[in-house]
Amino acid sequence: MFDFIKPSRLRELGIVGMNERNVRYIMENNPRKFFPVVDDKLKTKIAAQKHKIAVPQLYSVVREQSQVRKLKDILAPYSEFVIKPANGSQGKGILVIVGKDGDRYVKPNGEKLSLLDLQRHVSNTLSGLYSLGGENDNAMVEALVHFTDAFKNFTYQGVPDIRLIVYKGYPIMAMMRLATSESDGKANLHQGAVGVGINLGDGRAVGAVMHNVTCLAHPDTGAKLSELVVPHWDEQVLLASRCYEVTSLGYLGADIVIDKELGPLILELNARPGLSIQIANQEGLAHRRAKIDAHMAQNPNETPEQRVAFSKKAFARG
Amino acid sequence: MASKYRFYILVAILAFTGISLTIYKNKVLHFPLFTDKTIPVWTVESHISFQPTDKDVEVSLAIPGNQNNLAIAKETQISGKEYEFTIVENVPHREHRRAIWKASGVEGKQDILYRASVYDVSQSELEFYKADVPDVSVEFNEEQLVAVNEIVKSINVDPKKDEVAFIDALLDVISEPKLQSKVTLLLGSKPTKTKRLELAQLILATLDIKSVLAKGFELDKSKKKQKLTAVLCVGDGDKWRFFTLGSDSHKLPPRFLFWQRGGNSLLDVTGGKDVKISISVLKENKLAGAFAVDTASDKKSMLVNFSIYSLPISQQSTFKKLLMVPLGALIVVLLRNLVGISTSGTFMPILIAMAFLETNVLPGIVIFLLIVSSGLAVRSYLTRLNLLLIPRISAVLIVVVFIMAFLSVLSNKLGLRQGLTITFFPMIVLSWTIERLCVLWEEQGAKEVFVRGGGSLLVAVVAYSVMSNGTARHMMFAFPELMLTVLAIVLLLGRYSGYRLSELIRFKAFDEGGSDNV
Repeated sequence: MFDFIKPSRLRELGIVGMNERNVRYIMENNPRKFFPVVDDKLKTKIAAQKHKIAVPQLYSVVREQSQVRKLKDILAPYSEFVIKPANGSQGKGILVIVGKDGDRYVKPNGEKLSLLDLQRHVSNTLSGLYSLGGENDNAMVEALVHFTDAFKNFTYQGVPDIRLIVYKGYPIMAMMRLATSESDGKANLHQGAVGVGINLGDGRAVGAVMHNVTCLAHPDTGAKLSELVVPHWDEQVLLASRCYEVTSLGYLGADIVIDKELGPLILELNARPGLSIQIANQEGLAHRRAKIDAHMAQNPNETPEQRVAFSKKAFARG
Repeated sequence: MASKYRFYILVAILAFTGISLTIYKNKVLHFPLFTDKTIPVWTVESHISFQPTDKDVEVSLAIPGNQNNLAIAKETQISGKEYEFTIVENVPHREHRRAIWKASGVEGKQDILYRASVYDVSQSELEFYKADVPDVSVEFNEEQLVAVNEIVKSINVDPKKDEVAFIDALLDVISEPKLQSKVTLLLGSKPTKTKRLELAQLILATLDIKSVLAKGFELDKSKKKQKLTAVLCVGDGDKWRFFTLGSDSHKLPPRFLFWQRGGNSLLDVTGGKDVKISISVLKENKLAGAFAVDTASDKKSMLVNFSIYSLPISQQSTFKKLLMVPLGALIVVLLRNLVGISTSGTFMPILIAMAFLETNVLPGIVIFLLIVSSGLAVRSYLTRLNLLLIPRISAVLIVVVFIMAFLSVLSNKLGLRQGLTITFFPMIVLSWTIERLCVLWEEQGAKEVFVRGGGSLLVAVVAYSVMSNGTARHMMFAFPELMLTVLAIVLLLGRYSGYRLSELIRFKAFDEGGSDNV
């Protein structure tokens, strides 16, 4: 019924499975006490700003149900914004509004929501529907990123973002996540976004997957994914690498978006980055990790710039 | 590195403790390993009654002890509260035991009951046969001694050469209905069987052949009033031969319980008259596990005192279910971390499996699907009402209870008794499941709902099939220390960092093009 790949072959390729990720990557490198900084996006934003790391502007925070009634006033100054649960996971509960049509708020796919819909969404967020443990949460209202035109042909609505995994401060692997009509404009591979492996050396695409299957062109735009080049690449890799100092997490996922005017921005950080990045890159994490560990044994306490230089050299392809 | 070793040592200790305690309880305390089979248990009872004639009364009764194929447990006695009760074990001749009641100032007819349970044991168990055989003091006068010699001479077998043949012949002489005069001289005209065997024992003693006179009966031929058969046991401590009047087999009938071995009398009552004794046997089948606890608690074993069998029966049945939860958890760990099935709610499948235990699996699945699908339908309507989280879950909970009540009544009207077991489903967990699945549906589409819901159901069915397994249930109940072993396995799996079965499919894409890029 199923066609299996041999475990020995996967090990040879250095592919990391969920169990290995949990035991060897997350538990060994990410002490529990550092989790709140990344799990709570509000805290992430504050910590990132403290370290002068570029993030999308925070408009407002809704902390209590009583504020839900005032949502109209809170949102009044903005015609476009994103509502996010501070403790959401896997892109749950993120609502993007790209414009207003009278009293109604327009989603990227053109769907129009009433104020009541938005209030319900915020209310759900506050009561913890989207948070990891179902606990009470805060809803953040932040600026909508005007994403660069560089990916215009490669995305269907939404914000295409770059996911960089940083291992002990060294960028270890990168991919780009492209929204599709199936993913409802969200850059989440679970929901059907396309994952494109990115060459750490120069920001060029090395391969792409959708639903864990290799794909060559974007399903909506038809653009050839092999032609994708990420602009501001050096800046982005450095940005991600510096997040290690912000969070102290040894296995960290940094989600970066590129704003037309502001350049690369850290959208969020993740203490449990997923493993699809390996499929997008057609390469496993384990061998790269071994290289970094060996390098660190020789060169401890490197600066972010030195770390980036090593990663770009060691993991460049083609 | 050291902490890693410590971890494996801990795991090894846990696993070893669980397994070795289980083996100990099985081998030494006789807890049955795989099934709680029933074993026959005989309750033997002797009833003594007498009229006191004196101020001080003493009753001494020979009572059974452990023997090679039968063991005695749960000895109890019922007597007036004036009585002081002791059991005397005739060390070193352990085979002879007596129960002694002493009292002073008792009046009217006295009744004393002695009761004990007898059960089968394997031959290797007891070594009472090795007990020394006590010497019998021979008190023949000269005239009697002549008669004894004549009897011995009349038998044409040399007792030194063929002991068995000699004893057989001796017993023939003694048991003749019309006794020879020399035998009558020793026995009187109408001797009892016991008296005859006593004489045989004395004659053998003059020839330096040791023997023990015992009395007992066959348990399998239990009657309300049991008659004791006298048996002459001849042997040297390693091998015994048994002689009864009117039988040449030299072997005991199966399950022959020695009531009295050695000693002069079955019952002595000093300070009483009209003494009567009756012995009765009642056969019952008991659960081996429970009986092991009964018999072992006499030994004051910690393992038994703190076993679940020591709880009241009603609590025991609760624990029977609770003790299956660790196995369910093990299944969840296996299926999630080794196979990689995604479920909705980590341990929800165990609760569903426990509900299946009450409903049986097929009706259980049907009920589960009915509740969840109708719950989802209602919940999708609630989505539009803009409710806060807690009230919304509560609303779903109420709807779930309502659906359960409705299904219950409906199935009852239709004559389906299974519908009534619906109450065993955990409503609160179901409500959360419905809530989560509904959110999942809104955010990630119906496919993910079927994957997670189906995964949960699959795990629940697998957990059910293990938890409903009779052997597994019995083992976890009789040997709760196996939980330590399960814990050890779960701890080990907690360190498993290999691939999941599902990942062998997920990463299949590497199989073709993968090698070029490495």
